[in-house]
Amino acid sequence: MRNMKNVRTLSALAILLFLGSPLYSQTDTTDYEDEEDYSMYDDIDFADEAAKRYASPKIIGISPSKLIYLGYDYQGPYEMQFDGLDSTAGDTFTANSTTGIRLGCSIPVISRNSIVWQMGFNYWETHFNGTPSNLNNEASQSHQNTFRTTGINTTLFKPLGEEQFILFQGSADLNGDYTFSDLMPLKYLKYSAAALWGKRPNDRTQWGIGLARTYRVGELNYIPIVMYNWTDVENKWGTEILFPARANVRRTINPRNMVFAGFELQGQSYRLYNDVNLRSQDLEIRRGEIRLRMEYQFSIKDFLWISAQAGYRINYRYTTDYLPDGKEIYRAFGLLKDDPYVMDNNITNPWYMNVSLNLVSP
Amino acid sequence: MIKKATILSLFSILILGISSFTFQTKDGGDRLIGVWEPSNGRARVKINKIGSKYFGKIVWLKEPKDPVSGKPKTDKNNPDESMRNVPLRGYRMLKDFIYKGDDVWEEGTIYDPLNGSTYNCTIKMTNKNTLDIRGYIGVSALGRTDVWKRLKIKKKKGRKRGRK
Amino acid sequence: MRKILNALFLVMLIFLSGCSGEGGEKGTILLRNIEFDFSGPLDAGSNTAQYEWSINPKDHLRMWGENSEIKTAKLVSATVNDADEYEFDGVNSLVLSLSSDNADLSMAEIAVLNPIKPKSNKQELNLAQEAEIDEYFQESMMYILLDAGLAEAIDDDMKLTADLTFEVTYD
Repeated sequence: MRNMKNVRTLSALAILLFLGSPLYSQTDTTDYEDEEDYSMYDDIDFADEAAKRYASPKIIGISPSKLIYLGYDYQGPYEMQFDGLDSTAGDTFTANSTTGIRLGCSIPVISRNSIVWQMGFNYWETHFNGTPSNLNNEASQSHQNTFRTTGINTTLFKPLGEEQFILFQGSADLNGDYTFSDLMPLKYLKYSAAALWGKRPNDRTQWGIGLARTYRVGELNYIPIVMYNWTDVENKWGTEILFPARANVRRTINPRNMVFAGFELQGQSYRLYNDVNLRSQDLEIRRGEIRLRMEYQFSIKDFLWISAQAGYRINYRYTTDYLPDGKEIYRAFGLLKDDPYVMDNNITNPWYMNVSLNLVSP
Repeated sequence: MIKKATILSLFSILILGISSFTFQTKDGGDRLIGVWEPSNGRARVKINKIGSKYFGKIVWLKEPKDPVSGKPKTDKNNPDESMRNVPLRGYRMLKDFIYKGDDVWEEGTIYDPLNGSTYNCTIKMTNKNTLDIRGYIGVSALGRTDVWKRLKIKKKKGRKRGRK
Repeated sequence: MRKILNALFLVMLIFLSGCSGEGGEKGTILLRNIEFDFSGPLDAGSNTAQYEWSINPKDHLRMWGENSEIKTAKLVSATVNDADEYEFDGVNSLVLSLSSDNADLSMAEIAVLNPIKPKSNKQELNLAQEAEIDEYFQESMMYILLDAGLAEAIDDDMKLTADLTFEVTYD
């Protein structure tokens, strides 16, 4: 009898525990409330150590950077006048147009507040649509080939605390009139690099100074660079400057529609490789141009953007030089070496347009 | 027979006791609940749970007022023009996160009110007071990770309603 | 020959016009007096209350059958009332959203009013033009959330009610 009583007591206890367990407690979701006091968030502490703050690579309002782009470049008609090569007669080449696809990507390898490292690839073509007037001039004849730039690049952004940062960019490019079936040897690679130290004093301003090894003016040069990115308080106007490579004033219609006015310096040294005769002469064409332009960037859907440029291309340099075994002469704008060029050519200036489809980054 | 009944009851109590203990510990996903600050210090976000998902609401802004109008900021860059009056303080910038175990919350999105863009997002709790919030487009490789830190808050009292 | 072609063209036109437009029935789902209880103390900022709605289209749609399914849904009106009749004292904004436990459904903001109309116990919210909520109505349950933005701390409870009207198509 007593044992049965014990069993009943224990069972009753079990039931009480069962009913008391969370298994049976219901969350009333029909009256959910959430209470915040905005003022309570003004003066608060971190739960443990304070978060380390880092300078962001971007400022408010800056145009989005391109992860992947595919574009088409078109220049209107212009005349090219070549010097004679080794006492051969000079030549003219009338380009009805100059066209080419431009594609590239810049993919984050590491992307955190404390460091951003990106690797990229680019491929640009320049195709001259026209005919040379004198087929005996091999240098002008080479313009019947397509000039190509194939390269890889890397960018490293490292914040040094909340305001200061360093930026490094490097690239290796193969430039020439090679074909895909007959690529240039890697010994003809051109290396470019830029290193910059900067400050981001607030969310709307970013500036920096540095040094670049560049071919943008057509031949190898070491030049100082200045960065100045700024957005006004209303997020209507801004600047995006990396001088002398490019400088733009930005007008933001809204965060998905922006208009730019400014210029960009473009240029490369192209090895003449396709023609075996020219290849053996170790010739290299130096091109440098300034593009004055207006540009419209807009989002067609989420992160898919289009940028459309139209402007005027001004020739800065169009020369030819000998480079035995690819060894460059560093002229330093004539300060270090003043040797005459093998050919000092002229071209007139056309209008141009460029359209690209871009996948932009967060 | 009596001994069997006693053992059965004791066993029931033991099982219920264990299950009660198990259900009383916080669901792993609920550790995300709290107030957090992104690394840029420009906002503070309170994460809570609605149904089975986690959402994060902006509760503080470093610059709460629009510099031009002087009024509290609203979601003026929202792609839906009809929703541009939603106040930014109180805006749910983190949405629809589901706890997947292993300190990871996935299938959510993060909204950037500066440009009106919404990104896919995953949250990883690296320690109880630190989150890695990764916003990306399509694949995780095309994104950026930000570190958020947990904050402690104190409550304040207010007036009665209808009496000013 | 021309007459035959004209006749064919007419037949095609009639056929295509018959095929165009959405099929299915149209209906209205009214939610009246759904309650949002905010338990005090409420502090300055955004406060959320939610209503868990088990959707039962049969109660609202005349032609609803066993195999019926809601195809499209659109919020056409949203009114929030101060049940305490304090004329929304302390409240400066209202945002209405839908949420679901379904992992494939993102939270959707469906209506907003900021700032609210002063000295009124009834607020008509502005509807989101681009909110996509069709799939919510294919679930058996959804959460309706009301965010009330308070200008300052309030050491009190607050009760708001809402009337929502959805227009749906179903088959």
